Amino acid sequence: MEMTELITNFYAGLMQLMNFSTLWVMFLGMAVGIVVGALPGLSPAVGCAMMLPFTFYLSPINALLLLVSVYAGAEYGGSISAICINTPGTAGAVATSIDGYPLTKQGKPGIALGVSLWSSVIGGIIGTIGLIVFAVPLANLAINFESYEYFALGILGLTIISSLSSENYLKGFIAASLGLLIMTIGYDHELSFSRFTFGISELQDGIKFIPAVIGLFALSEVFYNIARIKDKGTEKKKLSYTFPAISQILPLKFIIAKSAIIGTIIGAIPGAGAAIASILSYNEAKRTSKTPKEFGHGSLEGVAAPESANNAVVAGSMIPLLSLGIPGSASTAIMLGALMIHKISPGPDLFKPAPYGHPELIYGLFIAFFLTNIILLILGLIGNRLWVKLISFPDSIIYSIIVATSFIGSYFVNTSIFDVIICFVFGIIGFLLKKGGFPTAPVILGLILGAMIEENLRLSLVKGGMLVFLQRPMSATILAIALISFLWPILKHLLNKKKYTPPAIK
Amino acid sequence: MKQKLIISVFLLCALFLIVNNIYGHKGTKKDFPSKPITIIVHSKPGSGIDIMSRIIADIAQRKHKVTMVIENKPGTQGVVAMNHVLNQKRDGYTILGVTKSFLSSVLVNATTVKIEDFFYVAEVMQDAEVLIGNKNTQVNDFNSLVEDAKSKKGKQIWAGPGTGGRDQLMALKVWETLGISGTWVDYKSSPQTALALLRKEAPVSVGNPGDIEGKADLILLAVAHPERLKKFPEVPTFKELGYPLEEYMWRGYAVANGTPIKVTTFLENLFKEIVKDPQFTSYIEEQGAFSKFNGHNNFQKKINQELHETKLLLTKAGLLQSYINFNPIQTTMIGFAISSLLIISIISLALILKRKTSITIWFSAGMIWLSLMFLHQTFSFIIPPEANITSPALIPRIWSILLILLSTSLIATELLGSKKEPIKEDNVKTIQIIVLTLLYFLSVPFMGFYVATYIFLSISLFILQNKNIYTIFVTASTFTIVCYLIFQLALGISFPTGILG
Repeated sequence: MEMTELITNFYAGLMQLMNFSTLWVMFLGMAVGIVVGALPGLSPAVGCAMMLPFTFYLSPINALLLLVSVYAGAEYGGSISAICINTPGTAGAVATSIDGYPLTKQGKPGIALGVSLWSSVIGGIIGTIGLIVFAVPLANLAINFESYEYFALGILGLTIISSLSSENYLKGFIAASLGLLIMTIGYDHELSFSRFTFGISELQDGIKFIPAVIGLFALSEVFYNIARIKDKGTEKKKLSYTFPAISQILPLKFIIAKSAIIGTIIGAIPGAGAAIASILSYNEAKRTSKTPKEFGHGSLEGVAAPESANNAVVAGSMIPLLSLGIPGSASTAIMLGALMIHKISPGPDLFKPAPYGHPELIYGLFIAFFLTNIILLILGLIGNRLWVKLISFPDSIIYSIIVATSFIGSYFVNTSIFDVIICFVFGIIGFLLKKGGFPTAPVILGLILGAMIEENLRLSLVKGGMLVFLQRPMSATILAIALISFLWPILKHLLNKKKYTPPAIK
Repeated sequence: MKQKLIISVFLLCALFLIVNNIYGHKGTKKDFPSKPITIIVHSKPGSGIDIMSRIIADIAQRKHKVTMVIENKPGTQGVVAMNHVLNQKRDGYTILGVTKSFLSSVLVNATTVKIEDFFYVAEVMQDAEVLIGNKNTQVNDFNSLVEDAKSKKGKQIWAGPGTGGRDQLMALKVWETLGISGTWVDYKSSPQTALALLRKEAPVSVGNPGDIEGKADLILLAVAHPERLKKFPEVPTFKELGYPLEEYMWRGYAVANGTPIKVTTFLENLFKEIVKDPQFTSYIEEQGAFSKFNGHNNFQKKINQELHETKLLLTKAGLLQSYINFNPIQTTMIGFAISSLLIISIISLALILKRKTSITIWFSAGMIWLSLMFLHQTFSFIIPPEANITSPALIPRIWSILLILLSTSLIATELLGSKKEPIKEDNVKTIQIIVLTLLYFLSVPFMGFYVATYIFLSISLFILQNKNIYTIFVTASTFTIVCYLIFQLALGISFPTGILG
């Protein structure tokens, strides 16, 4: 494209945004998104669906912006409850709670929330640049990503177990296998029969992810800590209101950038999603960290990586939608619907000059993506003080409220009491795991990745067979990275042990 | 003291208002509808029927002053949503979005729900089934598709989202009518099916015209509709090509049997008006589909006829066969016996080795028990030799054997390792809270969310060292009020109200 044309397009896009209603729509969407994200059980897609009727009366660009703001706001909002009460509000915030919640326990929720906010904003901006500059190659990647690569990506995600369970590998692997095995419960559509439902018809759909996460993380934390409550239940906790200084954010710049790149790429792959992006970037951050031991105990890098990645996913997920017409997630499917209501069909034609395409819409969206991140920063900074205030109540109050919130979160996933029971069962499983010194995060990992691994392995075997995984360059590369990333922490651990054992023998 | 009094009075007033608002409507008989109608949708937000229902709700609100809310109940291809509607009061306030795919899903899934359990109020749209191809491949029109199929002798890949659904049935119908055959590959979702076509992995897929929206390389090969589509006038119909094939997907709305006829008539008329609305028709036509109203009588007749046809097709395709060979209760009993044996042997082993058992050992034993249960069941799956699938037993076997091996090694290391003294903790409170949590969760359907939560918070705060009645009152009241404000008022989603509601 010629430079002048590009400038004209950006100018036309900018003109689309230069009005009060657009800014208002973005503020509204962002605020709704943050609240929906922070409330466990309400996914970004639910937030988008709730706002869909409003888009009927907005201009096409405003309609799209409203939904994009909700989506981005929700991906950030998920981290608030993950950090404050160990209850990830969205699937993409699971990795955030691994290090975010320990920071709260240390009395530093402000630092965690601040790092999460800045990482989300910067991650979102980097993702936007990726969307603008690399839309074409990433769309090609999305097309060529077959079941073999999805399988390999799932395996790569699993390798994080070895770094999550550095205290006891055996226990970590057991926890992960449990998650993977549980994920096989449910109706098998290929052969049309109920697999491992043990006669319980509600299990036909398998174990829902969010109720299980809330049980394993939030409820089990309450059960486990009750014996340790010290307060008399009247005085407020002394939590630090300090928000991170620039000097704390700056050292995270490489982690944030790297995670944003991972997030953009994973976001562009239909169906992979924020959960996988945040896990992979968490793992990558730990692998390259100078202080890997801090991970799991309140590492700022551990908060920055997943948060940067899950907001970059939002921009990344626009790539298959806009350039291929393929929605990669439920939220983008709603955006597709909103565009079609306005008689605009996304896809390569959108980029053609008017009257065939809608370049002003595309370039307006690009510019608006930057703006939404600035709005996110403003709303986040206002909100953070409030969240810290809310969780400074005594433990007895916080724990009681976490139980009630667990009910709400697991109930609203599917408005079903069965999911609430699942949440309770996982609360007990998590409690036993903690008592036995097992890590809980690998179980979640198994639940996130189990279905993706199995579905795509089965499809690949039908299509090509085992060897194809190694013949295809992309899947072979991902599998090789997976092997290295799996063995790396174990080898490092063993090498370190060797280094330190000689003096002990003496 | 004075401040406490003011806060208490304020909270009491707020609680009173909420109670009045939630439970106050009881007993007042008004014309239908006197409260919001819930549309239950069987798929996730963003699906075709979800967006269509949201548009309908919007028109109903603006033009007809009827409030409708959409609730998504995805699962088991619609069975979860159908069950949900049957379990609600049959007063017309819960209606179900239905599609033709339900006919096969109730047959294919092991379920007690029947198509006959519903009263079909109105059909609102029809969407022709089409064959989709990629214009950059050799199979870029109908004739080349048939030639390619004949040369590949049954190996031609037909892509589609799902097994046993409408799209696969359409494929079977096409094969039969045209005298060709192919291999059905389930790509799980519409986006993945479209991607398979875009990367030329599969030459053809079955779907609806809306599926190619925005995908420049994808084209329609043939339309199973009597006339050519307005949006795709260049695409021939099966009829023109010499094959009398007509097949389309429809969507409509239904209520549970036993709903008062006055109510269903009201709903039928409402849908009749909505289908005429330009906002509705333009959205439907944008996807190459037709807005089409059929009232209860015609709709019901059509469904009865199609149900019969679907049964025949599914039986022919072997999709109604049972692929498991066990009684779940019996299998669970066997698993239980194995587990008991195992735990007894672990205890004896610990006694022999004079080691104390720990929670780690118990948990690992539990894991072995669970894996054995799963492993045991995989041996009762029957995989038909002609099925083009990977065994559903493969992955569960890998995970369960892995879990058994890992747990066994952990037990071994624990038993052989050094003895650790367990940390003594006050477990009474923990058990109290766990039991209280369970009671709370189970009581919500009966007591309603607000009442149950209020009681739970009060008791839980009391147990957790907080004997200050004022703090308990303020916390429980504030939380309940905030929940009401956020969920009910701001987001418009409601909690179960229980027997009081």
